[in-house]
Amino acid sequence: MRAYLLRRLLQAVPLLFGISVLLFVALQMTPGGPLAVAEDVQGRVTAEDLQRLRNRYGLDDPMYVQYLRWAGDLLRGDWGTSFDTGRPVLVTIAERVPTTLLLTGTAFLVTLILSIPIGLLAAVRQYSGFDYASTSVAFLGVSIPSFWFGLMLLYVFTFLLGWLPSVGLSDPRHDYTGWAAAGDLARHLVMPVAVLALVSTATNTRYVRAAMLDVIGHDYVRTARAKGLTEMAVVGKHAVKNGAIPVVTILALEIPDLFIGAVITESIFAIPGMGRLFVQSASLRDYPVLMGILMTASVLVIVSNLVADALYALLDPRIRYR
Amino acid sequence: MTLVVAEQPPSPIPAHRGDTAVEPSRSGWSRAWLKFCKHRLAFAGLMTLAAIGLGVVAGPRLLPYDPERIDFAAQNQSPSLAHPLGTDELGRDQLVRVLDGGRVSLSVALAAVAVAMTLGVTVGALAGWAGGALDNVLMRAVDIFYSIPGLLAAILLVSLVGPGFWTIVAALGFWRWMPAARLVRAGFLSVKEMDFVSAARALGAPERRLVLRHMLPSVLSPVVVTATLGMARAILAESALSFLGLGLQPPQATWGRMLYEAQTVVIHDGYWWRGFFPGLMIFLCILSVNFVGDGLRDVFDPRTVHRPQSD
Amino acid sequence: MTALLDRRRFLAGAATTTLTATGLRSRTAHAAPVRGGRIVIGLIQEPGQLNPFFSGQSGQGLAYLAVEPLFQADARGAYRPVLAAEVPTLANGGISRDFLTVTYKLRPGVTWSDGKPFTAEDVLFTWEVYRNPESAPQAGAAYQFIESVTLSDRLTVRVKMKRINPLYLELWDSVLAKHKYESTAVTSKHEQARLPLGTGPFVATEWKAGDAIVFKRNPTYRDPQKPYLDGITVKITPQRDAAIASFIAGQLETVFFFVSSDLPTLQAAQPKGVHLALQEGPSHVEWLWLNLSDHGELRPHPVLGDPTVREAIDLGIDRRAIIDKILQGFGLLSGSFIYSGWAVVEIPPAPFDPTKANRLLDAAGWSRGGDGVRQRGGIRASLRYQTISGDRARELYQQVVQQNMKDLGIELKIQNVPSNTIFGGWKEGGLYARGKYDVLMSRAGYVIDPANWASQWLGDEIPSDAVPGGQNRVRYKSAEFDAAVREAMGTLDPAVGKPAYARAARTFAKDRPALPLYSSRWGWAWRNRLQGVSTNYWQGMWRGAADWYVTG
Repeated sequence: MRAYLLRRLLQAVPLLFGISVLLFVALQMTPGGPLAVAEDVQGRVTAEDLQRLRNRYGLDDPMYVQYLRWAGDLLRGDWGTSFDTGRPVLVTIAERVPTTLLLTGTAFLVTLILSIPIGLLAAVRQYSGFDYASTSVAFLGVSIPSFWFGLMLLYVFTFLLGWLPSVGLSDPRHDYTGWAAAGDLARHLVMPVAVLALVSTATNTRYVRAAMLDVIGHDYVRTARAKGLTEMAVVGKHAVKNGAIPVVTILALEIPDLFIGAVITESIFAIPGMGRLFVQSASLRDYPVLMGILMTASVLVIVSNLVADALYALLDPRIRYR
Repeated sequence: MTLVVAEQPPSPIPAHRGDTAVEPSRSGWSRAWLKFCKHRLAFAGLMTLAAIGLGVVAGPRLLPYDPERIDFAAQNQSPSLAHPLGTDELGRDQLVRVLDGGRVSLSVALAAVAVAMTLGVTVGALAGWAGGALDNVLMRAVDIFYSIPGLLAAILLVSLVGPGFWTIVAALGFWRWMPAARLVRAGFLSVKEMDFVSAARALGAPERRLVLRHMLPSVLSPVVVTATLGMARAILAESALSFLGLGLQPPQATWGRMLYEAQTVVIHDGYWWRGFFPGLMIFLCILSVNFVGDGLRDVFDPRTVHRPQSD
Repeated sequence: MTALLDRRRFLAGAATTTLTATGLRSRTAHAAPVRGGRIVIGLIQEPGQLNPFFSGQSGQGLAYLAVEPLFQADARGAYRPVLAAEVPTLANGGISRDFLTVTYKLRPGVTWSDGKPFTAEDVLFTWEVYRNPESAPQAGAAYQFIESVTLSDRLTVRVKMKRINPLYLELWDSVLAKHKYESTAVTSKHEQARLPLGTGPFVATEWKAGDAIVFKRNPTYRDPQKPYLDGITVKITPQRDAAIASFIAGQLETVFFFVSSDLPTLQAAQPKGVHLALQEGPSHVEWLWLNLSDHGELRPHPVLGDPTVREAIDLGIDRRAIIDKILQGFGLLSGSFIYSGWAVVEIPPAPFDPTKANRLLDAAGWSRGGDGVRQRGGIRASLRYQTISGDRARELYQQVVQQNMKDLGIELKIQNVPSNTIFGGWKEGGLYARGKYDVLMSRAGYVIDPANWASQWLGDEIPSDAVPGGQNRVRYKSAEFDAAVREAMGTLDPAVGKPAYARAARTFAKDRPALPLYSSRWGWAWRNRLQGVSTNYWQGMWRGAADWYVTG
């Protein structure tokens, strides 16, 4: 087991290398660079000024030199500075992480609280009214585009009713503290969390239900029933524990989404998180920031896959990796 | 986590668990079709898609409005008899734009799925059939692509290269071929050693014929399901990209772009029709495709456990 | 100055603002300035650094709360001295006979906000930093004319130019405080680049990234009465909508900065304590840049190379519709290449006459094909139409222009891309620089002195491998234009310069290498409780912060 994990970790290194090269080359090959002069200062910034900046950033060096420089710095903990603001990339990204986590973390919690009980209940009472109702709703939920849902929520709650704010996570009009601040934050979070949680709750409910159904159909559950154990004991002890395995691994796979899964929601509600930073940096060709975010995201995906596999191996006694 | 795939080529499969009724002998396709039709929701989904398909192709021709003609006299009208879905800031009828946009959105999604499936099946077949070093290299490539978050990569690609029909198709397609590749490879691995293949080989069938006529058809059924469900994802992804402003250029309407254009006017001016109808169309399409995919899944492989893909 | 106004439009649309403008005057007349109080300014786009010498970003307009220039231009482009003692002219000997040496006399008794004296040493140091190849300034084209800088005495700087420098009053817009630097190799990483030391009414004391920049009153400011305010907090409010909402609700005294598309909202908010001052006259003009070359090659563009096509496009655009229907009236018609500053030339824009345009195209041999698109000699009149993506108002009027052109039989395909793709340099493959476009749209030309602007269009400014920094990206070549511009730039005497620029502008209008679409309205808004605000500054009310005070 440990050997397997170690091997996977080592395999991740060339993987990351491959990703970084792919992304780096892709960025460099497209027209227009980071040092374009913005429209409204055309003529103010001269070509010589730009050349000096090019020299500073080493942008005229051959691609492999730039790549090696970037990779070397990265490994030493220097993620470079943003071309747009001049601030360190690591700081720029790190500033955004808590905002995104607040949003996605809350949505994740809501998802867990809703999807697990509903999925369990639907599986246990298969073919019941509750099952059909919840499955249908889940099916609908999976099919709704999040940005449509968000837009309609905004129409109803911001434009029509005026109850909830439409932008950001806090109201700059007031300097709230304590409970008032918490209330303000909650009012700002309601809609974006609802949007995120809708789709993930629907999806997870279906997984939980499917996993539980799968387990319930197995022989050992029938055996337990035949032995005369109560439904609670059957479900509680055996089914849930085993049904939890695929669900837990699926949840582990959703770790990257906690960081970059809210791109669209952040755009609709103008929340300054990682997703928005990525979209803005892409249009500004802010290479250092883009590479920073992409590498972070890729590392997260690789790590979460590893965690999922490890959890699966740990929890399911039938699986042994060689 | 390993993938469990039915080890037999498609065979008559009972629609419900535990149901062991045997169907009378008929050709595989018509049996499958009957099974599908018994799945009421799937059938309804198929009919809805057909209706939408008809609407987006025929609608713009039949309606009296041009989706791109500007008419300031008709600016910002709410739904009425003359304009059932209202108009926008340039006075353009929204119904004809929704239909015209649907044609483009669905074309992009179809093309993206086609690209993804072609790429995936090719890679998977090569890997599964050839084995050895090629298999290793291709699977490493699959790993690399799996590790790059799809939406971010699509945003990056379109931002850098600039939006265009084929750029968007590529951006969407290049991140969806991996599941198909893995499925096909797994299918090939298991089918390779089977009796009917060895028999055909013993009879002297050339390798290419073996692959194309015997092995490939039997591994394609899970791919069909993946493709169908991938269609739903592609529609959603295309509208997401457009919603972020990275879609096709104006004045071409697509559902996502119409939602992008609707943001400010819905929230600040209350022109709800601008956001409601395009989104409704996306919703109906995705719902229908999901129903159809569900039905197909039941028809082909009820015991398949799919590894969920992260977006 | 003659303003390029559509006078009926201005009078009709600006009735309310004229009222409030007079209201302001009468208000300041009887409410005397009160010392004390703080205000909050909302900042939408937080820059990386504040020092204008090292940054080309937008937030550095706020730097002028703390930093003062040698000269300040007013709204019409006339300069007056701030840190200088006087404006150098031929008459007072500040400018040499051959126009090549300019002598700047500094105002005595000025100190930096930390008490150290402001002297000519600081000016010399600024030049040395600019000159050092290890530095990375973004200080502007004016510095490139300098050959040498010498000090005559503690308060006098003599600058010898390599050639006649019409931008001599744009020099020393921000002076570096020599005593705060260790060497002359300075880049944006230096802490002075972030929070510069200045001589202005306020001092930037701290900058909490993502939160706020805090300015306090400068205790050593040269006018002991001012500034009236104790301090200014610049709060970072990245969501434009939220910032404007806060402003209207009264929690921000103003916002940096409002754009034209905010004007309708601000106008509607006047009953809620908002004061809106619209600038008289034009502001940034939105241009259509027509590529005269064949995608960068030195051959005429197959479609745009024909002057009849350019004239037809000019006649075929419904500018009025754009201003009225898309910009909701907040725009002005504009037709001149030089539309701002001291050398303003008034040239009316082409009238909207699609009939004439069609006739011209027919006569020139551009016949309509089966699909409605004109063609001549096998070449279709089909052009890419590009601007910076992400601007909703621009997308809307792009489609209006596209429709207008469709009616003429010219096909425009909209292909918007991010700013960097268009404005990247020659080396980075920027579309504009490389000539790989047909029609581009962007704003430009809002300048005090037209020298830098006009010189961009000279024949030898066409970008190439030899001239990668060339600015003549439409590849315009006109001996007449070049001669007029060179004459204007060869003198610092407005009596010679103005008519020369006028000739250049008329040649430009005749040749149509670019077409003006409209001029934006510019406006400022602030809460009524903030008084003493003057908008008579070039590009902003921020330069007059010393006079601001609050009531109530």
